[in-house]
Amino acid sequence: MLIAGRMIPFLAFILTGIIVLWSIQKARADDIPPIRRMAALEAIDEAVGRAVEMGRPVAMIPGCGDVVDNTAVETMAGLDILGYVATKTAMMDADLRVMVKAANVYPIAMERVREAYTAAGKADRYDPERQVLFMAGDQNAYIMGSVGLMQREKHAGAILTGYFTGDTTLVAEGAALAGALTVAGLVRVTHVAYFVVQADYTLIGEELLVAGAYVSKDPIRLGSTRGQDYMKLVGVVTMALGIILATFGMAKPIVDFLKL
Amino acid sequence: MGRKLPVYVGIVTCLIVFLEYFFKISAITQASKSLQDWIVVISACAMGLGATGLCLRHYEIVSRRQKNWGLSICVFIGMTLFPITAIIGGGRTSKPFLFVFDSFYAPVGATFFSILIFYTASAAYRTFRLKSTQAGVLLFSAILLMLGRVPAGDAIWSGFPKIADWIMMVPVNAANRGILIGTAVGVSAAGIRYMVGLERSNIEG
Repeated sequence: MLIAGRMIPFLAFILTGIIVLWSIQKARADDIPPIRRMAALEAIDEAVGRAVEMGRPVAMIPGCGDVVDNTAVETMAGLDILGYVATKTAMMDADLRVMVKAANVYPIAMERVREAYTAAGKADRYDPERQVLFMAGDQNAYIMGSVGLMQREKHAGAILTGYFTGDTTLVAEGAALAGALTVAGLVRVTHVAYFVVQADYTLIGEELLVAGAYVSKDPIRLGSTRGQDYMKLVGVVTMALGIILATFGMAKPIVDFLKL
Repeated sequence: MGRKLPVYVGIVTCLIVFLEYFFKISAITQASKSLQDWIVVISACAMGLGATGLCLRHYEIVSRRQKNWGLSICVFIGMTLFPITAIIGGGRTSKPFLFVFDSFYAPVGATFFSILIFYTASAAYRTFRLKSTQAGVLLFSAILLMLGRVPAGDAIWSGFPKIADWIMMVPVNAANRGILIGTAVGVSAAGIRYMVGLERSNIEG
């Protein structure tokens, strides 16, 4: 019944589920875990403030991923940050430019911005035709359009969070050449190094996924974050045990067990 | 109900796809395959909606003679030229379609790409600038890696390939695995929140 070789991942997923749901339950009962300060997210406020002072727009790109494939989680994380950026631009009366590549992401991005402006009491300032732009489905055209817009309008801040691939260096470079304060976030290990050296602030790996919890202060997400930390602790202990067993030549039964 | 229904649909679809990955149950496999077909259908509907919205918006720009209204006419030409040549010629491999593709789309794409090359060069310069400790480490590692991967490096000193291998196998691998484990746990937690209906940001904004 259970597909061969997938028993251990299944058990790990179930264990993750139990720990995460237990942590969420604790957080809902007012035992909300503290979360460390994330400089990259604090810098979003700085970028928006800078845009207000300079009278220039803030660029936001939620990546080139989609919500219907294996890039969905990162794209949703990017859109969570979009909600936060839009709230800030609404509250501080900054001009916002959201640049979208995927057609499926476009209506969600519009909805996020609309809700943020409505919640901030600035529904009249929501202008989807200027604020949320569908650049292109084609990778090169989307990069060219985004970079061109950032440079023509000399954006003061650029928030680049979500799923990025070959566009990583190019959009970060476009933002840098426009003189924008850049806050970037990426999960993919193959490209994250480019953001680290090109952007002013970077969210690395899991930081992007917990950014939504950080900005929303939602007990469910904060509780989930604590559950994730417990699971990582389980992973570290398991690895330490593996190292010890391998050192003493006793790892084979464990390796065989993990192949189940 | 309008808010709850998408959550229930999400829970059921997540469970079906989850069970299909781990268990061999023909009914679940069939249901999962149907769901994946539905993604294509829903995406096609979204594309249709997008195309309609695009046409309405550009029609408005042209009819009101707004700024750059000529570019909106180009949108209509592009949107009609490609399907018409494909229909008349009999598909995407027909001569009329390929003529339009090779004459318009390919040169525009090549132009975009060639302009981006300048950004790539400029980005490479910025990436490898010695402006911080991290950039310094990256620069130093990159020099060692380049020397270790090219024949000239091996000719200068046979130790460069070994150093390059060590960089890739030890510090790079360790950092990658750390990020991957954290990400995998984060993605699993997000999946669990969707599966039990606790994560509603995708439908509530």
